[in-house]
Amino acid sequence: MNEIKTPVLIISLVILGIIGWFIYEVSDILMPFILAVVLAYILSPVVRYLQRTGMKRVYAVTVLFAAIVAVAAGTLYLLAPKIVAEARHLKDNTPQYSASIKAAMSELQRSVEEKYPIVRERQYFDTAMAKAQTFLQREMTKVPAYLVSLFSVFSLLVLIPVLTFFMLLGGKNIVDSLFDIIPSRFIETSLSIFWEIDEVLGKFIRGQLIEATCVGVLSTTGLLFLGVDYAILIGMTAGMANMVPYLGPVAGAVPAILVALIKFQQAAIVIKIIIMFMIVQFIDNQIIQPIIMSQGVELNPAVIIFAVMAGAQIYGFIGMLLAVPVAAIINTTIGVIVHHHTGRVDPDTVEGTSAATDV
Amino acid sequence: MSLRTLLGKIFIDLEFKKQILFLLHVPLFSGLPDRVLAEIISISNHKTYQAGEAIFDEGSVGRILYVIRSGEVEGSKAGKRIFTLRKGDFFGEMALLEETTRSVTVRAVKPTELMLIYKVKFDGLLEDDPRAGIKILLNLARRLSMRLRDATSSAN
Repeated sequence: MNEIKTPVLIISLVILGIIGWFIYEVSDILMPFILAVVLAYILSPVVRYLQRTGMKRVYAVTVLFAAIVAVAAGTLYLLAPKIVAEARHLKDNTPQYSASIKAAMSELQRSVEEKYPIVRERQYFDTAMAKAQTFLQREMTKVPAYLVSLFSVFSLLVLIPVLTFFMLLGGKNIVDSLFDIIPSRFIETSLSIFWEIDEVLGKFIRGQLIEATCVGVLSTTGLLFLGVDYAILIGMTAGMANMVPYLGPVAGAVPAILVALIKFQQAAIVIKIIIMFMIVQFIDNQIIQPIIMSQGVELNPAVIIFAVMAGAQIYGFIGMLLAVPVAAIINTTIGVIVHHHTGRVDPDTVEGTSAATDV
Repeated sequence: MSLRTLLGKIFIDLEFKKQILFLLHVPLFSGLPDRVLAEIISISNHKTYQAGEAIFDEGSVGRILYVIRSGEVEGSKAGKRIFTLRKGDFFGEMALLEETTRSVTVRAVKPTELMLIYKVKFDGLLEDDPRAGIKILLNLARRLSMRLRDATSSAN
């Protein structure tokens, strides 16, 4: 048994290494493909549903694409004026905001330096401010370039939709053609891994989309109620950011607090906004999450935090969004292989516990 | 009529219809509505095997039910041939009932195309649609009792 397994293990490791190296080498162009896979994955249940009525797959995909374009156009038509107005208002008011932030900072500086003259003597404040300013300027100039590199107009409007279309069109045939080349003694493990990952990912993506929508709508409503400017923009950001575990809810609240602080110039609004976001988080954790069972990904919190930080390091915000599903895929794969392995060595240890319950 | 046929040819997925028709004649799925058969198609995979290729070995962990779409397979235990199955037959059903190791070795006799259904997806189907589930389990029970009867009579 062992003399058969060792070369197989070595070959598998070498193949995995080559795949890893290749992915690393092409990582710059990988993002549109990853997004297309995610989109195709999200949309495939609809295609399956249409196909069940007997419709040819190519028409099912076309109908779905037409519907998406119609919905997107409709939403844009309804929401765009509001969002553009908010964005323009934000742009127009930026000098005023930065002026009021500067005024607030120099006020703070004056009062601190009056109390503690040593701060003025050593020029702590000026140095800190200068450093903060250069840091902010450097980081802020990076943002647009970063966004452009991720979502160029070509990739957003052409590449991603076309890739998604063909992935949807291929559907399970792509997977089945892979199964055709896998040797039959690995087929049970490969099929298990495929469906277990499908289960975990499906649950995760559905859950995330529903949760992000709910948190976005709730936050927008709360912000509108508190009278904070750019409620829709900030609410939508909070919904999106909520998909990043642990950091997301905080990241969603920060812009709201900044904008409100500039507008109202008082501390009370900060507390109100924090309470509002805490209520949203409470509703999310206690009501929305139990209903949609997005907790299907049962990973150790330390693993999730590591995955999110590693994702941020590699791919920024999108990396943070992809971190948990990628960690879940790895966890599921290891779970199935270990389960299969123990099952093969000693059949008595397998007591009907499927890998699905472990992840 | 001719327009209807033409439109049907353009829009109706004939391959899908063919798969539904095939499943209707598989004893395990007999009596199920098209909707459930379509669901079964969506949770199944396909793989082709060469003549002589092993599909699974005795003692390996089993989590898949196999349905023969075309070709022929042969089951053997300790090198002794026990059964031959053809188009529409299914095997590996023990995996659906208990997660255990395979009790026989199954090998393709001719080039064979199989439909593969993973246990967890199959369990999900039974849970989501208990009415269909009862029918499938009844078909499965019939098949097992038939095999038991065969085994008893051959032992006698």
